[in-house]
Amino acid sequence: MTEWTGRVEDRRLLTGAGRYAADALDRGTLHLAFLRAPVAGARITGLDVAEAAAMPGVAAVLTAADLAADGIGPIAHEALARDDGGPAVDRPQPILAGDEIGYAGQAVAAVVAETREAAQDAAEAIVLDTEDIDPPSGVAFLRRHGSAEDTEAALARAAHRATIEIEVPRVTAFALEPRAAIAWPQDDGRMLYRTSTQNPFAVRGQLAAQLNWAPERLHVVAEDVGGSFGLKGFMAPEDAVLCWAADRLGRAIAWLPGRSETMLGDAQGRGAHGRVTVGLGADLEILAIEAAFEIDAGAYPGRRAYGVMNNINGLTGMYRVPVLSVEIAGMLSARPPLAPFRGNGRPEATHAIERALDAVARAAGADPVEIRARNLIGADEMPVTTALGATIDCGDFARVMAAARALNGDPAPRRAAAEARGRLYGVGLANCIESAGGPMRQPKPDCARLDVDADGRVTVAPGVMSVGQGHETGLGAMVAARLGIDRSRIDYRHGDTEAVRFGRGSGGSSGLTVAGSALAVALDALIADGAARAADMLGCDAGDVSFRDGAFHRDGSNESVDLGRIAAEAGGWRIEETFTPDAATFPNGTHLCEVEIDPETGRTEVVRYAAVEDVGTVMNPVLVEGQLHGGIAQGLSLGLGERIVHDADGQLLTGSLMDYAMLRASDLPGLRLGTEEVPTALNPLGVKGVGEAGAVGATAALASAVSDALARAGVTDFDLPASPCRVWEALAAAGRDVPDA
Amino acid sequence: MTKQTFEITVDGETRSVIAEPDMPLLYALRGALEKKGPKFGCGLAQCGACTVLLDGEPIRSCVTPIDSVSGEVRTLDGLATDGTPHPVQAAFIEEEAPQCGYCTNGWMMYAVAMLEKNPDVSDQEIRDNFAGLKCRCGTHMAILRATKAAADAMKA
Repeated sequence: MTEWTGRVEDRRLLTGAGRYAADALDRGTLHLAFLRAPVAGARITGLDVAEAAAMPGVAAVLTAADLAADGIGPIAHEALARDDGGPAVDRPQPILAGDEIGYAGQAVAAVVAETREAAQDAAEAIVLDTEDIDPPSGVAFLRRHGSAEDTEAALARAAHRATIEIEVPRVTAFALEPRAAIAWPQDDGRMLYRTSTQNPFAVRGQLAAQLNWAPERLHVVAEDVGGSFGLKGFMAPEDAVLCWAADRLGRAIAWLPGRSETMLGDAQGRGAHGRVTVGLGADLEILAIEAAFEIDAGAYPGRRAYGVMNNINGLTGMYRVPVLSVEIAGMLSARPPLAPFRGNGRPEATHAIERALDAVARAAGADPVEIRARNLIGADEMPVTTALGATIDCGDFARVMAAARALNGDPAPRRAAAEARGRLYGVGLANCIESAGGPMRQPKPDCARLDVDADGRVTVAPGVMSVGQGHETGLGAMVAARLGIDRSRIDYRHGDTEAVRFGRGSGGSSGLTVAGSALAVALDALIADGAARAADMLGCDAGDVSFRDGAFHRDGSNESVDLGRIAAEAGGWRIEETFTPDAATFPNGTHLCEVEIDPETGRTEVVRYAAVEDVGTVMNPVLVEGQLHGGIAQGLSLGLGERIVHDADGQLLTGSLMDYAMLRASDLPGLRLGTEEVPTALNPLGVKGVGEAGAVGATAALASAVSDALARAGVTDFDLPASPCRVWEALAAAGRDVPDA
Repeated sequence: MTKQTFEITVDGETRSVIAEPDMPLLYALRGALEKKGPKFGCGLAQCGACTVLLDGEPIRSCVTPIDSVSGEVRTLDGLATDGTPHPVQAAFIEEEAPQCGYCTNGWMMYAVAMLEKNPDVSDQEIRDNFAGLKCRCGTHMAILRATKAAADAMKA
């Protein structure tokens, strides 16, 4: 018999025994389907549900009027004061649209029926009348940083300057598991809510606030989750409708959306336009950055639209930037709300500065790599506080950059060979640095619980949850190593609001940095507490007790007390500890990407990719590599073709994978990956976070490579995505000059 | 439409399912037949998470009406025998190929279909075999590695 090795979770995931949200569906569960608005920017003039309500199998048809009758309002949002003094915009998001429709795909009514098909059929029988009104527009929020005056003065005396524009389209998270959920009223009056989420505590808190329930009334559970990437970190309107409907009807209700519905109804990521100017002095030193971003914030801009604003610190990159001026404006639109998507503003900031450095290098006739190397903050300058107020505690950027370039090797022969075949060849480099485990100005705590039973089995429940990262393997191994017990003696619980006091869930590259550190603190506390208890039992001082291999040993004797005996003596033994970082950490890396473009078809092929990341201490190389791979694959996928498109009337044109281009296995070259470990002192593990690192560097490196290739054919203003059609059009517009070899 | 009884052979067992004729095979598998390996990913035959084998060939069970199924259905749930993983499973485990694990069913079933017919495959054939599958976690490289390892094991 083959021994099961590898990741602990794979034993169930690879045999069909995983437990995703819909896997718990019981017979007899009702199904809920939404009527979604077919238009954007409209007023509802009529909503007739009578026919739908009378259809066979229909248990209820619910609308905004029913919500209002139950005292449930829209999702509250506190508008941010604008830095330009303009009016702050407060557009709370309705749970179900009542008077106004903000975007096509917004939920208008919910049908609960005996089967999914009956619910869908009835939803289609609802008669909705609307009249057009002006779609949402104007500034929703606006934030400024730095000094416009000083920046203008610095740029005026620049020896070289360049301005670029970047267009970062809206994208969809496309987690392979849709946002499925089941709400289950319990006999004791509580609600069990099984949902595909990355943050059960946030969902519980927000649902409780929305429904005017005590948080304890809700038990939120997510066992295995089929990807999330930022999308599933908050309560969405559908969550509130489902729990409210289940409570009203006193029946378990499932919502199992199909892909057409998630493409239409899910919040979307990215969605930014940026204009960036960089000025260099005579010695190619960066003098100033001027940047303005417009965020397509959707019809109901809440906190989840603040990605670029909250993570703008990446704009100064790894570089010394004396002065800057930045404006970030959130613009209302007739589109769905935004949600974080892997990186959440960090990739946009990196994309902006790295593209601008490439452009200013071209303007100065200098090597873009040389310009970057010349402006790097030195390891001996750490800690350093940037012009955007971020304090980077440690890092060795020159070492990271040199290691990545060495890993990639000299591109010149590859370029020559490709050009000899009539291809355009581009070599791109992007340095990236991002804040992790924050928020940057006030990092949030996480928690970890350890329970020991009389048999010495240890149950670990961290506040973080895995949505694919493999925390069960990584954190389980940490417990086994620290306690000196076999992994088979450890049980693992996550994604359950009753397994631990609170938890951050998954997000912001915080898993190991914050939850992992909380677990390290809890393990230390368990051992300290155990030593005191063991000393009592052994009749000696705690100082005369040492811990190894799951037991406390009295020094100089053969007497010992194991973990199980302490738990038995105490009648149960629980340790719960928290950890709050003093500051955010700064994982950083250098990514190199090489592309071949076929000038005849416009097809861009990524032919080589190398990246070196400093994510601090590497605890599990395979899991770290998986995160980097995943982030890079997503970053490349976005850059190669992903783009949500709405027409002028707000209709979604990219409603399935027929129109929305996601990466395939054959689109990836082998990835050369390395790490340079510069451990941080900000947490006991020395880790900096890795979840977002790959995505932050990849799109920028691809953009750099594509613009390098196209510049050789006279295209100077191209930005991603590099879909064949867009590349071909750009080449055609530039006369399709194929460069001389 | 009225419900009918369908006899269907899944993982070597013949079972009866009462369903409307146009019900997707996936719903029958995940419902009455309790095979949770195939997953609902898109319902549009675009991602492959629902893949099962029908007489050895991969099909998208989310768009396959149950009344069109005649032949032997094989699912992820039935790949291991007596607790011994199929060589493809063993390789995916060894290479730690999955992340969230939701799409992995499709990749494994396509790998099984290909390698059971002929384990002597090139890297390009492996990539081509997976052309219609989606993974959002970005596990592609690990999956290619695992499939190559499975091919080697099955050749031996």
